[in-house]
Amino acid sequence: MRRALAPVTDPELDQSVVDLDFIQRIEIAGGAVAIDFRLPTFWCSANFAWIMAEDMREAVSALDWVTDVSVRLVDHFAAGKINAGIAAFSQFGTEFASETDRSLIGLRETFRRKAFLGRMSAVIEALKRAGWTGEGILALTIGELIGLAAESDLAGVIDRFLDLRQTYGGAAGRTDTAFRTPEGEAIEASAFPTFLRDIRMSRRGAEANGEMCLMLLRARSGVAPQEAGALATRCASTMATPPSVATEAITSRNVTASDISATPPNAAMTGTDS
Amino acid sequence: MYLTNDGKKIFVIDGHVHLWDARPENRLNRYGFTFIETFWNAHNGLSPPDELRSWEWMQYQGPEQAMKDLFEDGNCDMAIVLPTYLREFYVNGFNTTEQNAALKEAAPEKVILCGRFDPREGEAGLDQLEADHARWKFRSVKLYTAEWRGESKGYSLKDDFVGAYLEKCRALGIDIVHVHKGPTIHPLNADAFDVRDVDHVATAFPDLKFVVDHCGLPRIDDFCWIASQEPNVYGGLAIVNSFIHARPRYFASMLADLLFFVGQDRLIFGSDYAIYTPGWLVDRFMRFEFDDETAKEAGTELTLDIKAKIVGLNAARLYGIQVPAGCHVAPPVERVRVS
Repeated sequence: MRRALAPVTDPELDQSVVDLDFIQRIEIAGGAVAIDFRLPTFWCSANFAWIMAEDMREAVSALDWVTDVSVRLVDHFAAGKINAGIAAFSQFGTEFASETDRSLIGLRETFRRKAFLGRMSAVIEALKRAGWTGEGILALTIGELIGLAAESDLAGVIDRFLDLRQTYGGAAGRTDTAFRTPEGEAIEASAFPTFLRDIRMSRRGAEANGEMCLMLLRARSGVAPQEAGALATRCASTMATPPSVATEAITSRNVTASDISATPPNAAMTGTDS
Repeated sequence: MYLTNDGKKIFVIDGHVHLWDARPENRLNRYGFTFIETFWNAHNGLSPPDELRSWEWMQYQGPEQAMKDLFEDGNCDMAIVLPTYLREFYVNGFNTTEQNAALKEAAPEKVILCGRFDPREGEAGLDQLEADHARWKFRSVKLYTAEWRGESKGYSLKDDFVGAYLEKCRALGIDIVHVHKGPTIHPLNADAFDVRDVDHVATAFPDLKFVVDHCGLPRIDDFCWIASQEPNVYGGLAIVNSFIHARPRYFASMLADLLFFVGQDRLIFGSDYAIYTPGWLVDRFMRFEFDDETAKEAGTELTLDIKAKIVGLNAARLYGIQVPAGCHVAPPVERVRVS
């Protein structure tokens, strides 16, 4: 299950939801799979949460033994709306019509494009560390890059790049140049250092934020304030216990496909986002 | 005032400070809890273990405690105190100009009080801005484009109702606009933390100066493009500089990019008090060095001049504050605009 979910990324960070520890619980009963995921804060962007939920469902549905998938976001301001919308195969723009003026297609595109550049930056930096020159790197074809992946320890970064090279960078046959702009234009050797600097900056901003997310998520699981009594005054009708108390559950570090929890969905954490 | 090991006096302005009240009795709903919970987790995630504070402190500081944290233990000569109203989450607001004014009263010469407006408030909001300005005489405002207001879950500086407010600022002599553009906390409508709308107003109002708090993190790249083109855009380093302990490599690399693209004269230190405290942040920053590779990327070593600019001189220049005699000074540098 973790392998199936691994390619699903947080679009803004281009890191796997599994590596980011977002997966909180996986339940399997026959062909039915139920996944709970939790983001680093109660306030993480609803549109990205929606994208991740959709992508998780799609990734798990692709397994041939799976007959039914439910994906549930927990501990989030928009959990109720997102979970209901995802379960109904609705669209983000429909569910959040009063709060957004566009669909998620443009947003997905923006961040996929950034991910392409970020992944390219990772491959090029790895090649430079392995002793490749700028000219050598720019001359590499997709076929040669596939060969390098097979015979070096760069398979991970190269495969991630090639996954998106089908979508961006123009023609993607084995004899085509591997590294091009997203629009498919060649990169001039003279402009290469500037180009590299630009795309490295994009990648690092996302990486730094990824680190922040991991730290927030760990803190959220570890040191969250316990004050059930203090919350009672105004929140009693919507919420029985504060988030920290409600879901001390299993973290993804020790989730396995055999973890079938009997814990019912935590109704207190969902459906209260209005 | 920060004193270096070799006895140089460094003038310090904390460019990003709040005093807030998130105590249970001030919370309007569960969002009031989750909001401060997120800050608490950020405090725990990035602070050194011996700088961790209590949950009670996180919820409420008050002027006396803030005086101690900022001006006694915090190395700060001055602090820019920014409001974040959040009236949808807190009975009396989370961190209003009125609350901040208590600190100003306690230390009038040390505190730069900042106003606010929400351009969705129409004519009444313009009148309120005028009344607030008459009362507190601030020359800067803080905007929080992702703030909820009724059905609206945020606005963009490109929205057509923003211009009238910036015109009003002009008329009142408010020429510095802090804009929160940072991580998490609910961007929804067309992504309210998207930093590119700053480009729009920075071009339309070249006489105003825009401080992009948190440098757009995680869209530091977008921020850098804008700031490199617009001379009236500044980078507020709050959160970015807080990586210095827990993730120093990321801090170094973000700062290198900012120095390279934005330059050493338009970056402003901010503790983001009370998520973090300036005491340890200023001290670690003043002792921070770039390795060779980072210095190459930044186009410069992290010199004493640059550090002094970031922790105080840049904010002093922006706000027209006289740096006390005897403090280390460094003039702005000519730089070739990155295109």
